[in-house]
Formats: sequence, structure tokens, C-alpha cells
Amino acid sequence: MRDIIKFRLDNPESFRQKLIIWSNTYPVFCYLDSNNYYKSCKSGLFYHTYDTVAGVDFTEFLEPNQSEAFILLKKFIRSKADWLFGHFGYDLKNEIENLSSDNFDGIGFPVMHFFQPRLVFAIKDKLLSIQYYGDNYSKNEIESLYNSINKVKIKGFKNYTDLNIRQRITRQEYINTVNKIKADIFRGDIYEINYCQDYYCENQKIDPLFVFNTLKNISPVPFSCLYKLFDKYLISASPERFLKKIGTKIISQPMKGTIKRSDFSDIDEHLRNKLRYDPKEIAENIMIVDLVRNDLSKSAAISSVKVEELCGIYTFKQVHQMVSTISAVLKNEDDMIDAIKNAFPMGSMTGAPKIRAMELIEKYENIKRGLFSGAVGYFSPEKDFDFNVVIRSVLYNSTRQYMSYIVGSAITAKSEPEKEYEECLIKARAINQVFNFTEKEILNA
Amino acid sequence: MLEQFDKYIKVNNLCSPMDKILLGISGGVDSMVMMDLFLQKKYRIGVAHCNFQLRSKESEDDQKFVERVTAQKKIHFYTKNFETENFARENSMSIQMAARELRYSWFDEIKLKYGYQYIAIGHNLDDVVETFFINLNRGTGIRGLTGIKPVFGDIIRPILFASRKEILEYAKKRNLEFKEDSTNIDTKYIRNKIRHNILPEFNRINPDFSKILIETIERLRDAEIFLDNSIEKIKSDLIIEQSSNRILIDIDKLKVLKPINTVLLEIIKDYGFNFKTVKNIISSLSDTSGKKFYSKTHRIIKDRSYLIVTDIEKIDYTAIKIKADVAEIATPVSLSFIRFKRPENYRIPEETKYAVLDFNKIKYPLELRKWRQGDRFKPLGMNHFKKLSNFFIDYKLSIPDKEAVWIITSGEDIIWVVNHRIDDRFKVDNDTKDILVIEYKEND
Repeated sequence: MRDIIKFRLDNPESFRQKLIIWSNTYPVFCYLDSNNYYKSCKSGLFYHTYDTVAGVDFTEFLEPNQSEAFILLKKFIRSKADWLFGHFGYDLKNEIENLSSDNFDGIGFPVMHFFQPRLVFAIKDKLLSIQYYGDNYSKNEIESLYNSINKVKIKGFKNYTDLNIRQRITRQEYINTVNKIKADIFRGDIYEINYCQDYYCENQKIDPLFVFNTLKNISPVPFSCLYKLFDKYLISASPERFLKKIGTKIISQPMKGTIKRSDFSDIDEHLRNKLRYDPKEIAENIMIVDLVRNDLSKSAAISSVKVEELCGIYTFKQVHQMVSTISAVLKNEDDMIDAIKNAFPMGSMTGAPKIRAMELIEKYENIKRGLFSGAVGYFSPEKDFDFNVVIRSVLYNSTRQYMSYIVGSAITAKSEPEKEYEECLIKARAINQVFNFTEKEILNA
Repeated sequence: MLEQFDKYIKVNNLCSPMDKILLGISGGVDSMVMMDLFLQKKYRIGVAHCNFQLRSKESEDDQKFVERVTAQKKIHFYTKNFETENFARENSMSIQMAARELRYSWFDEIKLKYGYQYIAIGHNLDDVVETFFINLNRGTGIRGLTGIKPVFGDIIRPILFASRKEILEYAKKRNLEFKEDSTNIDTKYIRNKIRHNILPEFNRINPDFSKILIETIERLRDAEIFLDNSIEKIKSDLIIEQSSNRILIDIDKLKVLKPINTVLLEIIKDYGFNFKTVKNIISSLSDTSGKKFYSKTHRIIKDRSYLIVTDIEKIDYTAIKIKADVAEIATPVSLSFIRFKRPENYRIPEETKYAVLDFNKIKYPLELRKWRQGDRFKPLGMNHFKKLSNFFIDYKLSIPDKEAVWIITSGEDIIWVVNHRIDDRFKVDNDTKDILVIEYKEND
């Protein structure tokens, strides 16, 4: 059992900044931040537990190979009964289904990693709780540790603006591939697939803290995260939840359907409604809802799968999004890892039907997805968990000085290759602009 | 000539012998030759002549001349006198533009009223070539270079194949009467320069120059068709909404398109925007929002994700008086007025379309007007006054919506910002005995 000390924060936002800088002095940490989203968005289903929760440094960790990863994770959780932070990589699909991943991977995140943190920081409103083991720290040590975090100076982020960011495939290659995918769709192999391409740069440094802060400011989303695994970083502005568990209940909130916002409230309201009643967006969202219902039902008690909210409209700083909320009660609480396994990888990132879509993803994409379209989050000592969907994220390997981000779009029978390509360009630009801010702009934002 | 005329109509699918055709006849040689050709081919025609009254005596002579000729040949004749100069001044356009506008709207009127299918205009080959050079000199895109087309909507130009020389020879051979061509005032100087100084030089280099240029223009026209087709596709993707009062253009999608200038021009040229403004808009795309751009009829506001195109509304500041016995008004906005004794446990409806007011605090007549800069009121629930302009900023109203706001005043005081907020001084309180409810009904 961990001991807990609570502190009242005068300025939670500045403490968060300091915590990130301080955490980065450790080889491993996972910082999850909801950016107060549930407060700024007045209605909706949030299933909110913490404003911020972070695990810093490790005492032990699990990094299994492809086979039996889930079984080992089950054992690890049972033996620890503690906080665990970490991730599920997309390529775990190979354990779940009979698939393979042989494409290039420049980042090298392990397929799964969970660590037992030495320290856990949880913030809700102005209350910070630091959770630690009495064996490692005394109460006084935690207090002085808290003080030293408070003394951290918020500055020194470095921006590298002259990055030479490259696209792995050409426009023509992209368009050719989409045409091949469409042929597969018309043949009846699949009806939707999430096809991605990557942008990367080699032999160039970035400052992960700078990139994270910038992303957070541009796009304060409920599932943002900064995750460091030795020399590898995930810098994520994910707006989407994969799966959460509270008690015996599991909740999934797939996101599909977007419209950009306006500065004028009347037009903005109008756009919200436009999204709400857009038949194409509704159809795509419901398609994924059905897939998730199916995934959850595998681990659910009889007739417990419920669509709590269908096609709810959620407003973010940049866009309005359509989000559905599906919940279920676990048949058997010990099966929580199976519940994750049964829903992984999330349908919104593969396509449907899932297995064939994943085979085609392997065939057509030029890179190994790795952590992209996987999930990052935590297990709590109460055996609750919360995981996001790794999208809108920058991945960085500081040893190789290799940075990459992946963007994609859903290809259906109606997709026009040129338009899908433009869609990718737009998404990539949104991340690209992160590298063009100055430190001053970010601190003043 | 007659054969060529017949062939040109067929090849370009201009009209069929079954159609009724309205001829725009000035009395000049081009139009008289065109009329003669149509008559020989036994088309059912009518003749329309505009008197723009720009050359008093001459204009009148032309009019009489066309009237006489058509009477001899028993052709339906329509004519109208226009106050061209006044019209040009009032609408701040050039005389040439005004004449054009007046002519085509009147032609359209006759066409509809008397059941014509097409309007035929007597432009010739030299006009095409000259217009090409005029536009080249002025600066233009592909559309200016393909300017005069055989068909444009319901307008046909059946003698576009013939050069001025051929037309004159034909008129001579057929012994046709005609008046000296009325000169095109705006372009007279440059047209003459091109006709007498520039084209001869080209012809000296290559005697077939006109023919080659026409071929070039035809190829440009083909390219233009491609452009039109792809613009249609792009439009449907870029314009995320098109309603009667506004158009939203997605900036992110626009930004990745090439060539961005032409794409945007093609989308907004119908609203009167020119290439220069397009370039200004493009260079502002990364700026903060709120920037405005104007054409004569429309305005574009740069929002963070969209370009918002709206009609420029002529704001009407005239106030309308509303007396105590008025129950309903329909214009300029639809309002109904209901007065009643306050019932027990009266619950005030919350929708903004209702203004629930203390009747006894109100002095008649009320006034309904558009808001102006400097207007202030005490928004319900506030203890202090607020400028309306600031109130709108708080509500983040878009500029077109702001302009659409009406207010109702009692004496000097605003009682209601229609469909937004009542004034705190006129609210229903514990002492209120009589209630006035004003309901705003959205016009469909």
C-alpha cells in the first residue's frame, strides 16, 4: 500500500509545467493530462477521475515480447496490485490475431510496456496527492521533493524550427495505393480502412517538452499525454478515449465526425448543428459504434452493453467532434485484460471488418505503426484503468534523433484519392505548425 | 457567306429553325448583315433596338432607321430609350457597363414576355481578336482571353466566324442599308490602336495571324472547359455551406490547393471579387481572423477556419413607430405584441424570442430600428450599462448577424435587443401588474 500526502496547489497550471520539467530528469515517466476539458465543456459524458495523473520513475517494469504479452500483463498486475503506467502498441494485434508486422520502424517503442512508478502524482482541482512507498521515502523527503518541484524554473524550452520534415511516400504513390484499396473495397474484402502515411525527420533534434507544451496550447484535449521510455518519447494531443474501467463497468468513447469551428458564436453554433445532423458523419460514427458494441459484448455480462450517448457533439478548441459512449458491465472483473484484448486495436483506427483491414494495413502502409494507434494510460491499485487512443501524436527517438508522426484517413468506397491526400496534408500541417512557434509565444499563450 | 452562316450555327449548335430568335440590332453593318442572313434562312425573328441616348440626334436616327427597315420587312420590332448616363452614375459604373447591363436585362424581359428562345448579337471575328488584345493589355486570366464566345447562356453570336472585311463585302453585294457603327466609347481609343497599329504588324510577320489567333482562342476555350469542370468539383469540396445569406469556404482545404489564386478567384468571382482582392485574401489566410474584404455587392470575412462570404446589407436606420394598439407587425421583422394582467405564479418563458416586460414601465409609441454605434442599454441581470457593440462582442456575434440586429426603444431607452436580451429597467418584478410580451418570429 502506498502512502499519500496531499498538497493544496495555488497555481495548478504552473505546477503541472514544473512537474513535466522535473519528471523529464527521470528515465521513465508517463504524464496524462485532461486539460480541464470536462470543465470547459459543459455537457456530455466524461467519466472524469483525475485532472492530471502521472507516474514518475520506475521500480519494476514489464516489457514482454509479442507472444503471451497479455497473459504476462495479467500476472504482473496481480502480483503488484499497484499503479501501473504504460502502453499497448498497435502491433499487439499479432498476438490477438494471426497477423504480422514487418514494415520499417524508426522509433522502436516496445510492443508493450508497463512500469510500476516510484512516485504517482494525481491532481484534481487544486488538490495534489503524491503517492509513494514508505520504504523508499519518508514524509519529509516527499515534502522537500514537492518543494524542489515548485522551485523548477519554467523556461529553457528549445525549438528547432529548421527541421527538414519529409514524407515517406509521394503523392502519386499515395493515390495509387488508395486506388488499390478501393479495388479491395469493391471486391468486397472490406468496407472501410484507416490508411496512414508518415512524416519524419532524421538526424535532427527536437525538444519533447517544447513540442508537448505547444501541442497542449494549440489543442487542449482531454487525453493528452507525454510519455518517456528511456530515449523514446510519445508526445500526444489525443482527444479520444479508448477504454476506461470504473469498478465493474467499462466505457469506450469512439470519435468519428469532425467539423472545424468558427470565431463567431452564431456560425459556430450553426456548424455544431450541421455536424449533429450530417447523415454521412452519423453513418460513419454508428458503424464504429456497432463495432465497439461487438467488441465489448465479448467480455460483458448478458445484456449489459449500452449505448449511453449516440453521436454526442463535443466542442474542442479547434473543432467540434462527434463522440459516442458505449458501456458494459464486465462478466467477470478478473477478465479486465481480456476486455482490453477483445477491443484492441480500436476499430476507429483499423477499419472494418477488423482482421482483413489490419492485413491490408500491413500490406499497403510503408511503416510499422508501433505506438501509433495503440493506447497509453494507467491501471490503478483499485484495478480501474483508463487508456487513450494514440493519434495526433509525435514520436521521437532521442538516440537516433529520429522523429515521426503518422496521419491517416478513413478510406471508403466513396473516397476520392486526391481529397484523402489533401486531408492528410491538412492533418500534417496542424502538427507541422507546432515546430514554428517560439518559446515566448508558448509561454504567453 | 450564307452557307458559312448555316454551317456555323449547326457546328456550334446555336439554334434550330424551330426557335424564335430575338436579334439585337444597332443598325450597324454587323447587325444588319446578321438580320439579312436570318431572314434568308427563314428564321422566325424579332428585332430589339436600344436607344442609349448617348449621341442625341444620331441615336434617334439609328432608332428610326431600324424601325423603318423592320417595318418594311414586317418584323416584330421592340425599342426602348434608356437614361444610360443617369443609370451609370447612380450605380457607379462606366457608361459601357451601364449600357451592357441595361441592354441585356431588357432583352431578357422581351425574350420572356414574347417567347423567344435566344438572343442573337452581331459580333464578328475582328471583335474577338481585338477583345483578346484589349484584355491582354488590361491583365486577365483564361476567361478574358476567350472573352467572346459563340454561345453564352441564351446569347448566341452567329456571325462570329466572319471578319469585318467579309461582312462589308457581303453588305455591298446584297445592297444592304446600314448606319455607321456606334463607337464603343470606353474602348474606342485602344480598339483603334489595336486595329490600325498592332494587328497590321502581326499580319506583316504572319499573314495568317488572325486565323492562328482564333485557333489559339479555340484551344484556350477547350482548356477553359476543363477548368470549369474541375472548379465545380473543387467547389463542392471547399464550400462547406452555401445558403441564401452566406457561404463558408474551408481555409485549410483551400490552402493546400494549387493554383490557389485561380481556385479562389473562380469561386468568388461571381460575387464581384477581382484578382487583386483574391491575392490580398490569400496573403491574409494565416493572419488572425476578422479581416474584411469587399466587392461592390459582397463582403468576405476571414474567420479562423473559414472565409465567410455575405451579401452587403444596406442597413436601414429609419425607425418604425409602434403604437400601443398594434398587435402584430410583419416588416421589417415579424413581431407580435400581447398584453395581459399578470397571472398568479406566472413563469417567464426563457427563450430569447420572447421579451417579457413590465407594461406600466413602458411609454408609447415604441420605436423599432436597427442598432447604431453608441447605443447602450442595461442588459437583464446587470446593474450597469453596456454599449451594444460590447454586448455583441461578448456574444461573439458575426458581423452580418450584428448588422441584422433590431432594437426596440421606449423614449430614449432601449427596452429590447430583439431576440437577444431585454433591458433590466423594464423587466417584470414583484410589483409588476401588467405584462407585455413581444414575440419575435423568425422569417422563413
